[in-house]
Amino acid sequence: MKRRNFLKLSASACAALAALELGDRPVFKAAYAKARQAKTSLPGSLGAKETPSVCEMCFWRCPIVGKVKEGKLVKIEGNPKSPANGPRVCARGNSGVQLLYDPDRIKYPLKRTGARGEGKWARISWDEALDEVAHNLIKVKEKYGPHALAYFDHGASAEFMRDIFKTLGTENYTNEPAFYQCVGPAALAYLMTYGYITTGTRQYVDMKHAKAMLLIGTHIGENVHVSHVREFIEGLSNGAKLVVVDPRFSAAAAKADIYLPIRPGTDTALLLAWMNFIITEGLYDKDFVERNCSGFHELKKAVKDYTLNWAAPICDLPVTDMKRAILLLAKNSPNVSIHPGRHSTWYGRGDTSRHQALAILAALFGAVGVKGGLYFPTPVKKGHLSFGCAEEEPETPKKSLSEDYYPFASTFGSPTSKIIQATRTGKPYPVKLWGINGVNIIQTIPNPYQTMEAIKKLDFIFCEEILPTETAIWSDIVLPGATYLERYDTVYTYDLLTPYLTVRQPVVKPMFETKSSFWIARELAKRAGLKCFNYNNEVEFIEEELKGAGLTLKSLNEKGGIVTYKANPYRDPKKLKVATEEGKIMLSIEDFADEDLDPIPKFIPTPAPPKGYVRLVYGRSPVHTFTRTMNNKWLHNEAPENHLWLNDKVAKKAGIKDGEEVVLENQDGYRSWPIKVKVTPGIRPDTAFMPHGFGSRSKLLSKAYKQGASDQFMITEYEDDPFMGASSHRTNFIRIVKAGRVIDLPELCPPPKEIPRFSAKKTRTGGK
Amino acid sequence: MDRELSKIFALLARGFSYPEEDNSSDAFFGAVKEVAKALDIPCNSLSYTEPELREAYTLLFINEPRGRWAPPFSSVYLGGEGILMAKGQDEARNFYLEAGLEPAVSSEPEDFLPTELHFISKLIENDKEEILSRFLKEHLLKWFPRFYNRLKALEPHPYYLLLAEMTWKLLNMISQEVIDETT
Amino acid sequence: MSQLAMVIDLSRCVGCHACAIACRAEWSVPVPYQRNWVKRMGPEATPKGMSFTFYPGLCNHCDDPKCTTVCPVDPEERVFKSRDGRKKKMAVRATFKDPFTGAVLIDKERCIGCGNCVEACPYGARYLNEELDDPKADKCTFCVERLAHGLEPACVRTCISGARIFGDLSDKNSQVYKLVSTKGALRLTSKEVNIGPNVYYIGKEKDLYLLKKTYAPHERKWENVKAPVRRRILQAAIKKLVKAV
Repeated sequence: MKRRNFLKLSASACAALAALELGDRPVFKAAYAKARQAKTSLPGSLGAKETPSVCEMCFWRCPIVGKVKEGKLVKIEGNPKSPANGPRVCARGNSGVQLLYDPDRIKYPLKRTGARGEGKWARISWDEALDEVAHNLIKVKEKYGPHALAYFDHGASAEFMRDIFKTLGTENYTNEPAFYQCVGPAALAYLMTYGYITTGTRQYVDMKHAKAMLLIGTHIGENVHVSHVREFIEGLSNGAKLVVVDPRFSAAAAKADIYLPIRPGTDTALLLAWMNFIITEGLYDKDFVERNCSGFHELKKAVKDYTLNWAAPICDLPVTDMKRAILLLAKNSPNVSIHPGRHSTWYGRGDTSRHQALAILAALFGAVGVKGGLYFPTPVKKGHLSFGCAEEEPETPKKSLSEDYYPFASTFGSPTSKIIQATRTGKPYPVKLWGINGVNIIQTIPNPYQTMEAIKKLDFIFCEEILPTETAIWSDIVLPGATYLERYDTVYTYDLLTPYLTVRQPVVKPMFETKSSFWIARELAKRAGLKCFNYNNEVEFIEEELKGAGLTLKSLNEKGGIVTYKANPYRDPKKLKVATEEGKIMLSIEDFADEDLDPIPKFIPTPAPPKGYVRLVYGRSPVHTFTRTMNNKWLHNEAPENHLWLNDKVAKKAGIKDGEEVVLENQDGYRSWPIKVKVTPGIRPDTAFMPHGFGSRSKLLSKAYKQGASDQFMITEYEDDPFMGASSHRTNFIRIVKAGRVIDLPELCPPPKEIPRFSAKKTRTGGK
Repeated sequence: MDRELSKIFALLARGFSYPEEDNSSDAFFGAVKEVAKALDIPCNSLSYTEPELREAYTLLFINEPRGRWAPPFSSVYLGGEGILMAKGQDEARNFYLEAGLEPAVSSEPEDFLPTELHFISKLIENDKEEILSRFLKEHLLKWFPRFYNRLKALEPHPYYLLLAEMTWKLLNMISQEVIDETT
Repeated sequence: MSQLAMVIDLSRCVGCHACAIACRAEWSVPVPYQRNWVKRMGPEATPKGMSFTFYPGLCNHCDDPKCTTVCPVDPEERVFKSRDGRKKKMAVRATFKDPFTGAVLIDKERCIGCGNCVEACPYGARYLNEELDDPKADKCTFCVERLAHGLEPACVRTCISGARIFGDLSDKNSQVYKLVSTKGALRLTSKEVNIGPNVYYIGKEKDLYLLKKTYAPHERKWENVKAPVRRRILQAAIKKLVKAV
């Protein structure tokens, strides 16, 4: 280039360039590695360095190994030493590489520059971001009191920051959508019946050794938790019989020996009729019930009028099929898996009761603490951590969101719907700051329109995020969290049939300026003036936890990153003692009666669809986790959009063809984005189904935006479960709009007189 | 000549970096204007504020609603998968190692546009024409045009459009010099 | 002679798609191409009941791989070695069936990227990777590279419900042999297309019925690879030149 002066620079230009001081940090440094000249590496993922860690593509947290070649993560596999999954991970687990290297990731702290929801922002420094969050936490607390702070939390990344909110003294320091939007009602029902959370994060049901299984909803196979699916399939392969009750012919229903396409909202009627049947026919385990259960007489009396004949028109099921199913289960008891379910926020009123009925059924069969039945966790010992804060429960305010609306909410936190209501109305007290961590509130909580309205009223809103979701574009400050592949978290223990202890370890260094959740919480606490998180880094507290298990991080890694224990799941039925007050399994729950709630489940019908509409239900796609994975290229490729399942007879009458693109309109007049219809005999005529999580409204998610429709935006009407305040998600109805024309859907399964119609004018406990 | 050319690429590298004090100063804009003039590229008075540029930069090169941004990483354009740390990253890394260098910041992908432009600056400074020729032909010139087209289609902030235009022109000029001579 | 084979148990398969992604991750198969795929069928009524099932598919490493017959590259002598040290010399084109393992493989050095074999496969198991500067055909290799290191195929390794059974059909003690010979496993064949696929499916009758009905191929695609061989080679060469310029 010395050869020709192809660029004529004036004297002033040369001077300007010469005078320029271009930053003082070096861009390059001397390298010691050699360039890779030839293809010396082994094919595929062979020869990679393996680091044990824990997946967080969903919440099952399978032990994994990250395989790194030349500083790059090339593959994720299960930890071969894991007794729960071995070298296996599901589609999401396999796709973590795409999350790590997703160009759409939040990379630096961001500060909103436009309006909330507009999605305009500028990068700022960590100092600035943390200072602003801390400043607002203190300011809002001083101005309105501690309870004006609310924390929406989910998953591993949320754990540390929760302690900040708790220490600041707000009663709203947790409202995990995991409870209020998911497992809450079921968790409560089983806790009160059996004294432990038989279904929460984990489900302690021994399908592997079952002789028969009952699934109500619970679409195992489309919802994928690896070890749970494995045990389900092992059980079936060992000859277990399967009864599936579901308005949709799910992947699990496809494997069933008996499939009952029940009318949505009537499962409790079926369960009560079954209970009555096995009591009157003497098919229940008398010894077990006498020895281990309390409240049998009350139960017997309460269910005596629920016959199969009564249930048949309500459930829209033939008596013969209902009878066949219960006889099959009875024949194989006590080794029957009465699956406790998980996601239970279906209809609001009656959700907790439905799971209480399931819990009771298992007890009547004596299917508790025996092979194939519900079993008990095997606690895995580890050191107790004290972060130096959040030891005490905050003082409750005069009118408490957590205690004064739903009698059992405080077990789990503050009901989400109440926090939103308080934010919108200022009653019973103002909520003025939201911190969000690990949950996409817009696509998780019913009536997103209401949520967005509430956000507009806040003084301040911030989130810790990994991807630019709707939550991020509505936040004032976005803190870039490191993915699970880039950080440590606390020690994880698994207390099911194959107990183990493992720890999440970083497989690669955090990219850009993303930081681990612990670091973020610690820095934030410092600036908020809290003496919290008295460890310098994660390894310090991990070593403390491991010490309590007789391990160090080094010794754990020498064993392949995971240590297994012997399970103790079963109990001698003659010596069974459960952790309820009486020490017995409670078939009638007095604590419920004390709060004017049903101590024994009753059938409370959920209103039937208005004429012209069908009920909208949703479920999981096996390749996606909520809305989190919609932008993941590999997963998106497997399932880029969702389809609406519509009954073939209904479709034919309404003139809708398979694959046609339509718009949905719900009972409140809200419309969805276009979605293709899947015409199928595998769904009831009064129901339509769509996989959850699609139809992202965040245009930042370059692949996910507008792909399919969002079920969440159709859920504008919800009812709260009166026990703990969880919100219903399946109490909305849709009809079809095709080429601008509204199509009323024909009613092929009219509801019986026992089930009232949905009426828009009725006052409800939830929101609109 | 080489010294100035090297400095120009260092200038462009800073221009495509997040706006901070040193690359949002009057002196910096002054130098950019002079180079644009020398390249016969029309440019108005560059009187942007740091906040304005920070917003524009974030929305163009970091995260943007509607996915309407121009990711400044070669992997996004070269790998086919459109993710980070793919083929482009490997290529860039290999070139740096050949020249005995590696990026000082290890948390960013190495195929970040400013890093690659700064690399060119270094190669010119140290007279590594052969590596420069291959770096351009086999790597940067394969993805920069796609990045540039993507940026143009966004009707972006004029400052960044200007920098891109300047970069493109310069890359073409030096590639003609260097690639012709060494092939 | 060995014949590597796979049996996929649809009664175990839950349609989780882990296999398709593990393969993609292991072999860097760029979206939208696939070496391994999962298609979903139903719910649909069959004479044996309502079925909602899955078609995990991959190259079948057929007994009579028609794809290898349409490769235009001139045959060249190649020495094949078995695991136990036996040798065999054979003249093969750029794609061939390994005489010792029965795996159908592609020699990437000799492949000219003409796409004949991609068109010829009735299962659509091959693809032309046009992401590469020098496009090549690609497909499942039964992970022979991993087998050489004593590891199972990536899809088998990750299958969460143990629905994939892999092994050597010539080993009468192997699980694949037993499953194939006793359980009446289904091969995805039809009257028109019957080239001996070595991926078998077992499971409930209703699911096998739906699978066969929906995905057994009927088109003898290899017969439609009409473009004269000479023109294909020329086309491929020109494409290469254009890309280099």
